[in-house]
Order: sequence, then C-alpha cells, then structure tokens
Amino acid sequence: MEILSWLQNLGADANAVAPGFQARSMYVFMCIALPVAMGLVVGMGLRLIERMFGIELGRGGGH
Amino acid sequence: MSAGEFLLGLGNFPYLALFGLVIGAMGGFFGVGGGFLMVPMLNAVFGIPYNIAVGSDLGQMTGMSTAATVRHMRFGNIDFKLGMLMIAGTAAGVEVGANILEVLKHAGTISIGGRNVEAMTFVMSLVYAALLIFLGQAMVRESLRTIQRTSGRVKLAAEAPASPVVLKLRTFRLWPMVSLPASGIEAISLWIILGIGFATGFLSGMLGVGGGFIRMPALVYVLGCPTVVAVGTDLFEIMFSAGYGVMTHAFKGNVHLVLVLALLVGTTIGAQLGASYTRKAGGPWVRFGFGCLAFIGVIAVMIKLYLSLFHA
Repeated sequence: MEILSWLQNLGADANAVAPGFQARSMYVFMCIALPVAMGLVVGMGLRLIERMFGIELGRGGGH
Repeated sequence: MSAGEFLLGLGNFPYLALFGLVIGAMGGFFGVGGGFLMVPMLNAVFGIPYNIAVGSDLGQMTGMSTAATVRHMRFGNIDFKLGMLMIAGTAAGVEVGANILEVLKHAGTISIGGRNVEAMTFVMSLVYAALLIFLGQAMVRESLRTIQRTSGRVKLAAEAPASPVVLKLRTFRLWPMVSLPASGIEAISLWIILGIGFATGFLSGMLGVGGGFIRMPALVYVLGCPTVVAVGTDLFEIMFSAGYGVMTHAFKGNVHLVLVLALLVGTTIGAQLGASYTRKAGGPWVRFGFGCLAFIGVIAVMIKLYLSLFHA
C-alpha cells in the first residue's frame, strides 16, 4: 500500500483550479512513465511466453 | 474538479481493478479497446468526474497499447512511416480535444429546466450517449448483416460498394503527396493522413477513447492499407495519441495515478482473459452482444445525468 500512498500524494498538488497551478515535473513524469513501463513489461513478458510456447497472435492481437 | 481535489479512497483500489478487469475482459473478448465504455462507466458507477476519468483512462490506454505494440512489432505489421506522419495530426487533435474538456471543466454550472448541473457533466453525458448509440447501432447492424449472410438468407457482393465520401477522399490529390511502400500505397495526399490523425486525436483528447473505430476503417477503406498493417499501425498510433493525451492531461491536473494503476492492473489481466475466450466463442453474435452492451451504457449515462439533475 506504500506505493499507492506515494502515488496518491504525488498527485495531491494536481489542483488545476488553484491559482498559479503548475503540475510538478515528477507527477507529469510518473503519469507517462507508469503506464509505459508497465506496458513494456507486460508486452515483453507476453512476447516471451508466446515465443516459449509457440503461441500465435489471434485476430487483432487481443489488445 | 482536478485529480488533486478528487479524493479516491485507497480502499477502492480492488474495486477499480476489478472494474478494469471486467472492461478489459469485455474489450479483449469483443476485440475492441473498450475505452468508450470505460469513461462513462467510471463516471456513472464510481462518480469520477469526466475530466479525471478521461485523463486516467488515457494512462491506462497508453500501457495497454504499449504492450500490444511490443507484441505486434515481431510480426512487422506496423507501417512506421504512416504512423509517424499521422502523429502530427493526432497531436493537434488531442490538444484541441483536451482544451475543449478544459473549457468545460472551468465552465461551472448551467441551468436546465430550473435545475443546476455541471456543464461538463451535462455536455459529456450527451456526447457519450450519442457516441454509444452510434457505435451500438453500427455493431448491431453489421453483426446482423453477417449473420444473415452466413446463414445464406442474404447474398452480398464480394466487396461492399464504397460510399461517395470514401470515393471522393480516395481521389483527393492535394500536394504534398506521399508514398507508403510498407502499405503498398503509391501516392496519397498528406492532408488525408493528417485529417484522419486529427479526427481520432480529437476524440482521444476529449473523450479518452482510442479512436480505432474511426482509424481502422479509414486506414483500410480510404487509404487502402492491408488489414493486418492497419491493425498494427492503429495500435502504434493509439500508443502515441494516448501517451500524448496523458501528458497534456497531466499538465492540466486530470490524471489520477492510483486510478491509472488500478485500471492498468485490471485491464491487463482482463484483456488476456477476454481474448482467450474470443477464440472459443467468436463470431458475429459476440459483436451483436457488444452492440447491445453499448445501449446499456447509454441507459447508465442517462440515469446518472438524471440523478445529477434531480437528486443533486
């Protein structure tokens, strides 16, 4: 749960209606890095599994 | 309301992950991204404001499309030149869509029949209802046509006749013309590619959808891409449009990181489960079911709007 609290706190300043709002660079970085990193890990993991077991992709890739 | 103001209890994480799993499984099962169901359902079921639902869903979509693109790359199904050219139009579209949502976010409340409702909730609910009706009826009609054709009740020509708009776009020859050898296209106006990118980017930025339902037919029928290349290039494009979308929404404070993580965990598992069951079930009845599901989505969105109008 620590990572969840950290993510929650990281976005706590994302109050765009507050005067002088500017998104923190770490918050913006994590917004992009979190999904991309997870996508890369999942994609490469699945690709490895497909190679190991000789699985072919179905129509549309099942995304 | 921005992501920093919206208090999402960490105890909701399992429910949101479960919700992502259900939507991901349905998306994988029916062979679509499922983004057009995700945002209105996040609003209707969990009460998450549209701007946060859109921004966070784009984060989830970035992860899913990255994983799918990595898998597709080994098959060489991606036309990188086409994808890169389209990105310019997509980025402009995402920016326009995200800024319209931003205007709605700051628009405050409007009065409908003497009752006050948030302008963003009202407009987005109607736009989503229209989108779901459009997609639902298209899927139901297409699946029924396929069912009739396979049962031999209706005889169709080998190739469906192209609409006048498509025929006109195919003959559009405005400079600069580009060739796309990977897709087998000798010459196509750059403006058509940018236009397709802009239209789908606009939908991504404003509604948090991948836009595959526009990009796929456009790539196949207007540009003349082979279907396998269109699928791979579509995924590549979703990765960039969602990635750019999540960045621009992050600058506007519309991305909730815990929500992104919960949805990512759920949809990643759900999409694989759904896709494996599609191979067993498959067929037009599945698409018919998804079309009907879109109409259920319309009912849910309208109930939520009714409640926010009369029980706020």
